[in-house]
Amino acid sequence: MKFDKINKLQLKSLRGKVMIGFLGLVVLLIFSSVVSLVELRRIGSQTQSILAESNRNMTLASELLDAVEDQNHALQQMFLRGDISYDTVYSKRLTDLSESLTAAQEQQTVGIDSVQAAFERYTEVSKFYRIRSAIGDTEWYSSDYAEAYHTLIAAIREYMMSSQVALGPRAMAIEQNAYRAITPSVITIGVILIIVIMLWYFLDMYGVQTVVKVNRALGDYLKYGIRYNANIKGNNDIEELNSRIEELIARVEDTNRK
Amino acid sequence: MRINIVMRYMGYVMLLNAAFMLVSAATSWYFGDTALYPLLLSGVLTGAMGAVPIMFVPGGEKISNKEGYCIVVGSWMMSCLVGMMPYLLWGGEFTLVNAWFESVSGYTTTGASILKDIEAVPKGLLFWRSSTHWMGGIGVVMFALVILPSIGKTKMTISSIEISNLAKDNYQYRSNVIMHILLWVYVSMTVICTVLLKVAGMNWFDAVNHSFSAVATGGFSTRTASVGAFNNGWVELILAFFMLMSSIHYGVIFATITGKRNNMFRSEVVRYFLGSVVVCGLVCAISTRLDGLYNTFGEALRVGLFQCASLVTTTGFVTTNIFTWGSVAVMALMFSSIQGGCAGSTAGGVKADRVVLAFKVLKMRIKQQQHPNAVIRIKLNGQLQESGVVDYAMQFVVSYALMVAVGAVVFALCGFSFDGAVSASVASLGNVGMEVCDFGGFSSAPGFVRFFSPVLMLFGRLEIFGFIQLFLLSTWK
Repeated sequence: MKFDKINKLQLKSLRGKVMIGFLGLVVLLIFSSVVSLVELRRIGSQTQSILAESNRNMTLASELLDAVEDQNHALQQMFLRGDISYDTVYSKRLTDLSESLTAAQEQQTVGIDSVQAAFERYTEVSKFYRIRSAIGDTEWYSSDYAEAYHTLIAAIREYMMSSQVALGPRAMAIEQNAYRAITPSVITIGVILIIVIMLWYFLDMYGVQTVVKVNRALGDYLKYGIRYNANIKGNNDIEELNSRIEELIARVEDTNRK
Repeated sequence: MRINIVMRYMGYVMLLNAAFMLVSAATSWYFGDTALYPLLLSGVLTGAMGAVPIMFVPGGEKISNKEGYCIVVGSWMMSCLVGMMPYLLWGGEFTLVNAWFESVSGYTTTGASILKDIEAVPKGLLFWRSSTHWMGGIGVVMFALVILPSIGKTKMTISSIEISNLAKDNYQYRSNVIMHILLWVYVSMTVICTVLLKVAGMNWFDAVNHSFSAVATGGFSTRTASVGAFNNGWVELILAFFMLMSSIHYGVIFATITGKRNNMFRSEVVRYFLGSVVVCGLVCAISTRLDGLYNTFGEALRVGLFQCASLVTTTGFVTTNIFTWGSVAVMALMFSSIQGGCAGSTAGGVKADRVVLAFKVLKMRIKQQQHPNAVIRIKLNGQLQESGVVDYAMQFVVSYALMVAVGAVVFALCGFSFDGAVSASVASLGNVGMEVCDFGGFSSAPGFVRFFSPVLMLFGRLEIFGFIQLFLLSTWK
């Protein structure tokens, strides 16, 4: 766009300029507040999600641990006492364990893959538990089974801790968002200060000083008959007022001459 | 001096900055990253700051030399300051001093960065970084001048400060055409470079960003490993070509494209400049091959030529770890960093024109000793050079050397080794951005270094004397 076209588009009314200037300040304040609010809301939702995820992990891990413990207890009963009634407990808890794992996988929680791997190994090892318990294969229980059991327990505990471990970077993200919630206000206040100084400077230059100039020039003309020449440049209504005064004086002088 | 007029022109530059911030915000929105609000707010704040003087101050005034100078320097300083806003608002690694460093490095087309992991930075902010290069490359004020139709005097007043003094002498066109030529060449090169990079295998985002960097001879990349991350010979070739083109006088490029007589093939300076790249590239290739750093000579030549082109154009793209190179190759790279591109281009450094003149002055001095009564004149591109031009060139070379020394002393006081301090000083003052000797990078440098280095960048970009005048405004008649 050509410069002279921009000049033509320029607002002439001083009142309009002042209004736009101060409305601009209000808009800036509102906008920066909105940005701060958005970031604050983000902090809120992040904190909530951290708490919810942590709670969910703990609950799931607790369920998994209970199920494995119960299964182990049932197996011990079958091995030591030959009590086959515990078979139903074992089967039920296996189903519980499997369901809990599926639920955790659906939620895509961190660290669940290692639990899944340990669980698969555990089910593979304890596949023939009925036969093993019937023949009293304690060697299998104390070596193969015990190893798979402990691996699974360790994986579940690690999973339980995973949400706590993930807290560090997430707390940093919250800190980052807190920074982003505060900084807009600080920077906006700084910019508003600059704009206010500019507005004051331009209002003084193109508003107050021009009126003073017109007043002085008019006073000099009326008092001492010095030719009216205020020399106003401002592309605003004071410049227009100045040119009208010049026109008025010219007309008055014309009438007097006639 | 009429501050209101200066503020009006600076207002246009602020509006241009705001426009690029909003484009960056749109990029951020497109990629769905976290820099949307910081960029949006920065754009609105910058736009508001620029709009106030334009709203109040009437246009159409002629400007004086002093006012023209203040517009240029004021616009640079203000752009560097408002350019910090998106970084500060986004946070992350951008503390106050880091944002200052990144912003000045962008606008001065230095390309040094404090970022350790560039891929972790949102794409919108990366686009803003590259935009600062692009705006800085042509000179923030150039943009303002294109939208200002004020004729003749105004434009030359500003261009004489913005473009190096030698550049002004080389132009064979009317002053009111200069700005349009600059913009035409600049935009065309950016568009062509972007398309070629896309065809070579980059995605649009990387292509645009690297094109902005290459044409502005900046050096910001979208990858931590810089251009080396792409491992693509075509990308390197395209970037090297556009870096070299951008380091040649824009008027000469325009003359070459439009078939004018004073084209780049007839330019003594351009021939010297391209020759120096080839020689330095060969030195690096032979040196690194003999050191056994690369398996084949072809590979060594590819890397050597690219690094020399990157350094002599003061861009600072990297494809390899040059810190493992031997001292001969390092010296060739250091010479390239100090020399820089041709006057009237976006490149920094001493400028090839002045180096050619310096060689000619040396030759003249030797001849003069043999024939004390002979009148020996210096010619450049077939034209006799006035003694004032030659004197200014020599004064600049001496001042440049002094500034490098001062910078090196300050860096050394901050704990840098000798070679690291010299390298950091050359990288900052020459707007190279890339260090030839390892000092651990600016990201791990002390806070004062990250504050002082941008000051050197501004000295280099405003050709030392231009920046010094800022402190002598009151005595300027």
